[in-house]
This record gives sequence, structure tokens and C-alpha cells, in this order.
Amino acid sequence: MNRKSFYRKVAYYAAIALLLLPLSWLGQPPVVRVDENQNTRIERGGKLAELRDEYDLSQAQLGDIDPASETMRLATLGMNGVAANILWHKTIHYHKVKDWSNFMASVNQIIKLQPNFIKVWEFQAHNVSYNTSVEFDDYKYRYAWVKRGIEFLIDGARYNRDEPRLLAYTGHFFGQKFGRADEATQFRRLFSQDRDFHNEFSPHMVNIDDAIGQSGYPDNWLVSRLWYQRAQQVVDTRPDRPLRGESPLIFHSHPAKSRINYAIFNEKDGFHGERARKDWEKALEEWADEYGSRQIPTSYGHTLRLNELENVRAETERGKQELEQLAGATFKELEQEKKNKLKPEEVLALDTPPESRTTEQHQLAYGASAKIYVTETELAERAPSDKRREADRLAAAVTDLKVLDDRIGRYRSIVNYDYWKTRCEVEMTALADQARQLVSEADDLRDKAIIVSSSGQRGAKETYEEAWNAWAQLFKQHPDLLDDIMAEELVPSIQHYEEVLSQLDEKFPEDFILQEILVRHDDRYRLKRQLQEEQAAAAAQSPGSQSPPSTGATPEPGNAPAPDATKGKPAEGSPATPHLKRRSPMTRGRMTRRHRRRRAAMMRRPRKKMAHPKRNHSPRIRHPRNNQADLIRFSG
Amino acid sequence: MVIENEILTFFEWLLPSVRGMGALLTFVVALAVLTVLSTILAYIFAAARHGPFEAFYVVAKGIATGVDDLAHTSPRRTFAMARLAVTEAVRRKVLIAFVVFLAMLLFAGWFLDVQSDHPGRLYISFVLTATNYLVLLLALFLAAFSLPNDIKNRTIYTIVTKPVRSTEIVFGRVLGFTLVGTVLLAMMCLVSYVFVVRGLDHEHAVIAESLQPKRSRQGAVEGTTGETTLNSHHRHKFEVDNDGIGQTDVQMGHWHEVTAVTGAQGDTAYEVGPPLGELLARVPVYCHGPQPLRYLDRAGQSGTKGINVGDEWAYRDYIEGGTGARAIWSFDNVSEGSFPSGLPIEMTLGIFRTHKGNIEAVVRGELEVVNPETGYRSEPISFRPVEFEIYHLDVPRTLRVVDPATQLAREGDLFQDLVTDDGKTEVWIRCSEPGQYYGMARTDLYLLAAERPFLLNFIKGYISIWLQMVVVVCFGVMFSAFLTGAVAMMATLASIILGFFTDFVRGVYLGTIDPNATYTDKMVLGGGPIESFYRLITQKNVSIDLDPGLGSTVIKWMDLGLLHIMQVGTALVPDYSKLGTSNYVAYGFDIDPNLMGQQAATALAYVAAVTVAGYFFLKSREIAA
Repeated sequence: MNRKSFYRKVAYYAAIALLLLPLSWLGQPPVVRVDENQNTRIERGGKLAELRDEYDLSQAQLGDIDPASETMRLATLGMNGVAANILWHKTIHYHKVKDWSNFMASVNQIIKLQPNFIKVWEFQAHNVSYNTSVEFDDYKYRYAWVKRGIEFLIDGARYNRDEPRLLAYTGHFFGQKFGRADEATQFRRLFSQDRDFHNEFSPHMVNIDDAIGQSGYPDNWLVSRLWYQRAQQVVDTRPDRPLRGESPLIFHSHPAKSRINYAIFNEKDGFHGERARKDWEKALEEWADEYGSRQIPTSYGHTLRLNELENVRAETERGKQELEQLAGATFKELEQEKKNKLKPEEVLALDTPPESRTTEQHQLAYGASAKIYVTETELAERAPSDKRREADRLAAAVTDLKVLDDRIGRYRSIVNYDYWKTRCEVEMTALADQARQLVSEADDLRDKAIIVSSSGQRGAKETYEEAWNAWAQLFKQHPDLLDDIMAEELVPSIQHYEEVLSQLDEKFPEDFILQEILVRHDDRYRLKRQLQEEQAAAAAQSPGSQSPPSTGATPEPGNAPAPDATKGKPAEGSPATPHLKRRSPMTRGRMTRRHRRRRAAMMRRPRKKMAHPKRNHSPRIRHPRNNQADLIRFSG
Repeated sequence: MVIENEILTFFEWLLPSVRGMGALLTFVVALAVLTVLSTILAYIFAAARHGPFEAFYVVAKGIATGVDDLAHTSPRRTFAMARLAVTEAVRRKVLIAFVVFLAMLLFAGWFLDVQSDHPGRLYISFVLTATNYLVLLLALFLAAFSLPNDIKNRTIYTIVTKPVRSTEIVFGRVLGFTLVGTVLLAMMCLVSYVFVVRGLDHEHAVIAESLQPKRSRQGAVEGTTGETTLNSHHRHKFEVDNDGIGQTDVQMGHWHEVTAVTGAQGDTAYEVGPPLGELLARVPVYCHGPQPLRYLDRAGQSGTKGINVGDEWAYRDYIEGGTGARAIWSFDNVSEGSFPSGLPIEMTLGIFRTHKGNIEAVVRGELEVVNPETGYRSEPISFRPVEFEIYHLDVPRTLRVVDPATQLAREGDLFQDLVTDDGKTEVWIRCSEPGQYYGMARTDLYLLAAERPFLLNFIKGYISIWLQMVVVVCFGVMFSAFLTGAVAMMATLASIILGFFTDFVRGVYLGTIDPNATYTDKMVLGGGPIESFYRLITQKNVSIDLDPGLGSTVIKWMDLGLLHIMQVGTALVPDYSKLGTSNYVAYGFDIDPNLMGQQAATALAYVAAVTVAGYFFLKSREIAA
């Protein structure tokens, strides 16, 4: 009996030993050997080691090795997922009951259990920086918690080396959370002087010395740019670390956008002059030259460059001309031929200007436009037989170029490429810099209660007026910017100017030179005007009544004062705000809310689809409404 | 610190009062019910074995023997049995638990968040929690396997053949294992204390380049400001007055004293002292009475609740700023003897803003001390609380008092004018800023009676753990008296788990049993154990009802049975979460003697009942054998 038991045990041990052999063979680690000639040779090791190496699965390849993390994972005997789940619930509970010490401790434990789960890092970093920080009333505590979320992400980047999403997310937090929160001014100030925090990631992850702003301290937007650049570098150099979850078009725009944001916030902080202009110059360079000339992978299966649109268009034009020469006919001729075959009502619909068409004519014109459209192939078919092959090739090339033109246009509109390019070009001019500087100076003078000039000291009133002239000149050159956040940001200063005038018992000028900005961006001003117009209309309707006296803010319809030569000529007899008159109070309410939403969207990513849907299909910046006539119509 | 349930005084808790029937009566009733039930059960078993008539005599004899055994239990023999249990425990290498504990402390630094806002809380929580679990596990293993092993190895016969009563065997085991656990716990307490104190201790130096003169508005030098070096993941800013005495700001829950020292050559150096304010044991006096915290609404009308600002956690009610809204805390037994130099008030208020206001400024508030009988009130004292931090405010002994009739203020005395003869007073809080809100709960404001040594509080925390350990030992011994070792261990473990998750089990029970419970009423979603398991394997969301049919009906019925058993189980086992006090120690609050008294009485009741039950189980086993 005992002997039998003994044999059985021996058999078990032998089986275990046999099973260990293949396991040992499979799991053999790679070995580096040095021969007599000091040449190193790497032996690949077992299959498991090979697979680990192939897919970068070993911890050393994924990122830093943390003994605590490894111990916890071992101690949970493979149940680290379950443990993380329990801790996740605890985290939610601690957050609910505002037990912040235990909340953060639980988050740290989760991450030790799941150090290579990227989404966990992202989610909890957001939870800490955004959801937890706002629970605190004191802005310094808020800053500390935002910072803690970022530190968390930086830790994530250490555990998961060269993970583009984490690196880009870190850049996002540095930029957006410090730069766009309600407490942005305070956060930016605290961050710039938080040298202990800087030392946590500099110089081993990004070099803070490359992010020194005009204040002489590190700027959050420039730090953000460095993190984005690091993420970009990984995507460019590590094909095994592809970008996931974000469009390459957006991803690659981040560094340049951070540079632009840096320039914008510098101006807000009161830095003007040559250096500010240089910053805009650099921003333009990064946006138009670096980002614009980057090969962007598209969902169409090919790559494109945003700044090649102009070349594509020129080439398309050239191709079309060559095709016309080969075909011996022009596009216009063919179009006319097709038009001649249309029904008379279709021709009439086409010839009627779009704004005068009836609904039926719109439909007819839409169909007729498609009928008379001439394709390159149709033109090529007109070519003589000896030139037909060449014409076909050219037609195909032009068609391809047109497709590329359309696609680049679409991609450019997604990131508002043209707007930012123009903005950089405008902001780097001396005129824009001067205009901003004057407004900033005027605001300062107003704060110091220096209202009017005296004994060589310029007053707020004169400085404001000088600033408005500079801005008017700028908008005259770039009327597209009237609809922009740049113009909207002037509204508070214009209101300050109004206050300054009221302190001097002066009326706000009826022919205010930047009235169009108020019409477009100041809700209060629009309502005031509306009220005046309604009062005027009511007074006009009541027999024998007189028009109410003007409060000075609005010229009466048809009674506008004569404009001076510099302001252009107003539209004779046209009402000051014709579009406002057509709206009911209820519609105005909706417009206001929409306007607010649009403004919020523009703050996040200015000039996207919401502002000008038409622009999404056209690379042109000019808006039909934004022309010089509009500007001068409201300026007197 | 969050205390959701009010701590009653020991006698309020023990004796019947308006707040309930009292713990003593509950215990007596429960004991009576259990005695009757167990007698009936014993009779049924005896009847099955000996017939209905003889069973009566068997049960009666058993009870009589039990009473006799209890009456004639010899302390000498009990101690002898206890010594035996200690020897056995030592032989079973019980010290391994201590070695494991040391190993945990050695590597604790890896897992603790050293950059926490309050590392002290984490350190203390960690050592107390680790000790708690470890000691309970130790007690579980010691108690559950001892008797079954003796019975299995037949070594028990060397004892029972001697003139030893069963009570002495059971009491001796309980006493012996408790002694072993106590010694271990004492060692762990000592090591933990050293770990916490050493772990939190750190030093800073002053950065010479950071030193700047501190000037008054008139430009006069009032002292020096500066910054310390970065140590233990933080640095402090400090101010020192012209006398060379100052302190740092509060970082990570502590601060340091800074003193200027003049050297031999007349040069001034600054010394930073050890960390302070982290290892405390505040003795709070909470508001008390039938309506300890009440509110006035924005029109100044009285109410029992404040405003809910939409917070998921309804612990705090809010009052609107810039209106007549007030939060009023009522205090009893406030006397000159307890607070000779005035009222030291500490508060932790929540702040809710409906508009940004001035981001850099804290939302201001006002505090008044009011005599509830005469209506005399102090002139408002302005304060600026910091959310989630303890704000300290001293109401001086001599202060301006407002006469409610004339609304004129005069110099007055805190105790003569604002406290009634029987020691009652009220503290009124108002938020000064329109559109902003203050949030508060009953324990968010208290009078700071004293600050006791941290070590004493730490020991109190360990006493709570000790009480839990004793109860577990008793349960282990009781189960081991009639079950085999492994089963006794599982049963004791189940009692511990049930005891730690009493609220959860109650939540599952209520959420499943009540057919009218709405989604929000249900404390725990997903049904009982069978339903949960079914949902788990079918990946069914907890908020979706099971498809109606035979299967779901069967599942629900099975769950109903299991949940009833669990519910009875939770009623029988002690609520271990209520026997824990680690939060008090970690958050720096002295453990209320009333709470300790309640815990001790609860543990004693369980020890008595479970030990007697253990005796009868052992006795029945002997009879069976």
C-alpha cells in the first residue's frame, strides 16, 4: 500500500518536472553574449520572450518598473482587475463624500494595479484635475488639484513610455486647464512660479528652459507645446506607437495652436511691442510653414498638405487651360451649348439672381446648374483624335486635382486653417500691435482714474479714441475679423470708454467708429437699439406725437448723420440695423442664446463651423456680409 | 471629520429614553428571545434523541448543570486552561503575525501616497487598518482550530478526564487567546506608533536667498519672511517677527515653528522646528439637544433643514448668503470652568458659489454667540473659512454684546450675557456674500475643549481593535465547540464579514425585499446573491428588471430565503464597523469616552452571550460523545 503511494508520488513529481521543461524552454529569456573578439550577440531566448519582444509587452519596454506596482499585482494573484474594480467603486464613494485624502490614495492604488491601462490614467487624471479641483473654493487648492492631475499624467507617461495619447493629453492639460479655466489668470501666475513642479518633469521629460515666456517665467502654453511636440515626435519616429483615438489633422495642429494661444495670452497679459509681434511671427511660421507643410494622413487613404491648396488650384487652372487648347473649345462654350438646350423656365431661373428666385426657381436653378456643368472628360471628348489621348490624360489629372482641392479645403476648414493664418498675419503687423497696446493703455489709465489728458499725461478718453481709430483702420483692411473673437474682446473696453464719457458728461458718439462691433457682439447695445427703434415706431404710429429724443447711441433710421470722408459713404436711407428689425423679441432671445453658445465655442476653437457654415466649403475668408460697405454703414 | 450618526452619552445609549428603548433593554430582550429559542431547539433535538418526556429532563438537567458549572467555575483552573491556550498558541508560531506586520510596515512606504495633502491621515489609517485585519485573522485562526484539533488528536481527553468543568475550558481558551492577542496588539501598537511618528517626521532648512524683510503699510520692518527647502515633497513659507519668533504656513496638514538665532559673529540664522499640528487629539464638544442644529431661511423663519444645492451627498445643508438665512448650533453644559478664556470654535464649512465673484477672495461669513433665553447676542465676528480645512476662531471672554430690545451694543462678558445659567448657548453662522452659500452639518462646528496627547488617542484606537479581537475569539471558540476546524473558521469568517458589511447586507435586503422600493430608494441594486450571480454571468445591467417568467420567480424566491438568513445573521453578529475608531485617530479627534463605553459594553454583551453559548455547545458535544 505504502509502496503504491510512493510510486504514485514519484509519478506526480516526474510529470511536474516534465511539464516544467517545455515551460522553461518557452520562457527562456534573451541573453547577450560577448565572444572573444568582444562582439556582442543577442540570443533570442524562448518563444514567450520572443513574443514579448515582438509586441513590446515586457514591463521594461512599456515604461518604468515600479516595485510597488509589481508587488501589488503579484499579491493579488492575478485578481488585480477585481481589486481595481473594488477600488474604483471606493474612489467614486470617496469623491461623493469629499474624502479627498482617501480618494487620491485609492486612485494611486488603482494605478499601481493597472499601470499600463491608458484609459485609466486619462480618466482619473481628468477626474482629479477637472472634477475634483472644482470642489474646492480656494483657487490655490484648485491649482494644487489641477497640478495633481497633471502629475498623475506625467507618472502615466513614465509607466507607459512613448505613449502619444498620454503625452498629448498632458499637453492638453497644461494648455487648456491652466490657460482656459475661470481661474486662468491665477493658474497661469501660480504655474509660472511653481519651480518645484517644473523640476518634476524638466529636463528629463521636456525642457522647461524652452518654454520661458515674455514674463521671464515658464508659460503654460509653451510647456503645453513642448508636450505636444514630444507626442508628435513619438508618432513620427515610432511606427509601433500609432496615434489612436484622435484625428492626425487635429493632433498635429496642437503644437502650433499652443504657440498661437501663447501669443494671444501674452497680449492679454499686457505684453506688446516687438517681442509680441515676433511671437506672432513664430506662430505664423509654425502654423503655416510647419503644420501647413506636414503630410497629414486622411481618411481617403492618401496624405495631403494643408498649404498646398494654392499650388493645387494654380495647377488646376493651368491644366484646364491646356485642356481647352487641346480640345479647341472652352468650358464656357460647352456650358453655353448646354444652356441653349435648357427649357426657357430653367434659363430664366438661372438668370434670376439667387436672392430674387422663387422656391420653384431655386429648384429649377439647382437642377439646371447640374445639367450645364461641364466635366473635363466632356471637354476632352472634343479634342481631335490625334490629341485625344493626351486630352483624356489631362482631363483625368485635372479631375484628380479638383478632388484634392476639395479635400484640402475640407481639412483646412476643420482646423480653421485660413482664419488662424490670417489672424497671425494681422496680429504681427505694427498696426494691430499698436491698436492692442492703445486699448491696454487706455484701460490702465481708466483704472488709475486718469480720464482726460493733463500736463503732458495722456488721458483714458484720448487714448481710447486713438485706439478706436487704429482698430477701425485694421478692420478696414481685414473686414473678416469683425465677426471674430478678436473684435468681440473689444466690447468690454468700449463699454469702459462709454463709462469714461459718462463721467465727463459726454454722450456716446452716435457715429461711433466701431459701431459694427457693438451691433455684432454686444447684446446690451442691441437691445438698447431695439428698444429705441420700437419706441420710435410707436411714436410715429401715434398721430400727432413726436419722435422720442435720441439718447445718443443710435442714429435714427433715415436720419443718419453724414459720414466723414475717412469712414466711407453710408447706404442712403437704409435703416441702421435692418436685420434686427425683422426679428420678434422671442427670436431675439434665441439669437442671444445661440450667440452665447457660439461665443463659447469660439473661445474653445474659434471660427469653426458654427460661425460661418459657408466657409467650411470654401477656403476663402471673405464673408459676403463682411465688407467695407457693412463697416461704414454702421459707422455713420 | 464626517460623523453621520450622533454619539449619545453612555447612559442615553444604555437606558430607555426619547431616542429609543436603550441598549440594555434591547440586550435583555434579545437574550430572552435567544434563550427561549435555543431552549426550544435543544428540546427538539433531545426529543428526537430521547423521546419527548425524557427530553424535558435532559434539557432541564443541562440548564441546571450549566448554572452549577457557571457558579462553581474556578478561576485557578480557568487560568490554568488559559496558560495552556497560551502555550499552544506560542507553539503554533503565533509570532509570525507580528513578523508579517513588520514586513508590511517595511514596505508600506511603497504604497502610501507620500504626496497626500494629509499624509498623517494615511499613515495612521494604514497602521490601524492593517493591525485590525491582521489581529482579527490571527484571532480567527487561533480560536477556530484550537478545540477541534484537541478533539481530533484526542488530547482533549487529557483535560476532560481531570476535574475541569466545561465552562473553565471555554473561558480558559477565550482568556488565553485574548492574552496572546493582547500581547501581540501591544507590540504592534508600539511599533506602529514609532512608524507613524518617524514616518511623518522631517526637517526643513531655510533658503537664505528667500529671506526678505516684512514691511508694514507704513514701510516699517515688522519681521522677516522666507521659504524653506523642499523636503518630503513640500516646502513652507514662513514669517518671523522682530523678536525672532514665527511659524510657517500649513502644508500637508502641519506647520513648523521658526526661530531666529543670533550666532557668535552677530549673524542671524533661522531654525525650523519639528512638524506640528498633525498628530493631535482634539476634544470636541458637539452641539446637543433635541434640535442641535437648526436653520433660519432667507426670510429669517425657523426650519430644521437648509437648502440642497444639488449635491449627491446630502450630508450638508446650505444657507444662502446676504439674506436672513442662518445656521444655529445649540450647545449644552458650556461653563466658565470648561472654557475660562472664551470659546475656541473650530469649523469645517462647505462653500457653494452661484457666481464666480472675486476668485481670489474667500467667501466671508459672520458668527454670533447668542443667549437662547434672553436673546442677547455678540456683535458679529467676521471670518473667512477655507473649505475642507479646519478653521479656528476664538470668541473672547470680553466682547461687545447687543441688547435685543434696544439693539445697542455694550461691553459684556461671554458667560454672564451669552450663556444661560444652565450652560446653554447658541452659535449662529451667516454667509455674508449674496449669491454664495455656506454648507454645514451638525458636527461641522464644535467647541474645542482641549487637545489631548496623540499617543493616548492612538492607544484608544488600539483598544477598539482589541475589543473586536476579543469578540472574534469568542465567536471562534463558540463555533469550534461544535464544528470541525475548517468549518468553524468559515463560520467565524462569515460572522466577521457579515459584521463588517452589515450596512451593505441591510441595503441588499431592503432593496430586494420591498416590492414598492423605487430605483432611488434601493440602497443596493442588483438583487440578492443568486440574482447577482445570474446578472454577472449574463452581463445584465443592474437597473434593468429581470425578464418575468418561471426562472426569475425561482431566483427571487431563493434570494428571499437567503436574504432572510443574512438579515437574521446581521442582527446576531456585532457591527464591527461601529466598533472601529481609526477615523477619529487619523483625523486628529479624541475618541469620545462615551463611544468607547458603548463599544466596551457591546463587546462585553457579545462576549458573555457567545461564551455561554459556546459552553452549552461544548456540553452538548460531550453528551453526544
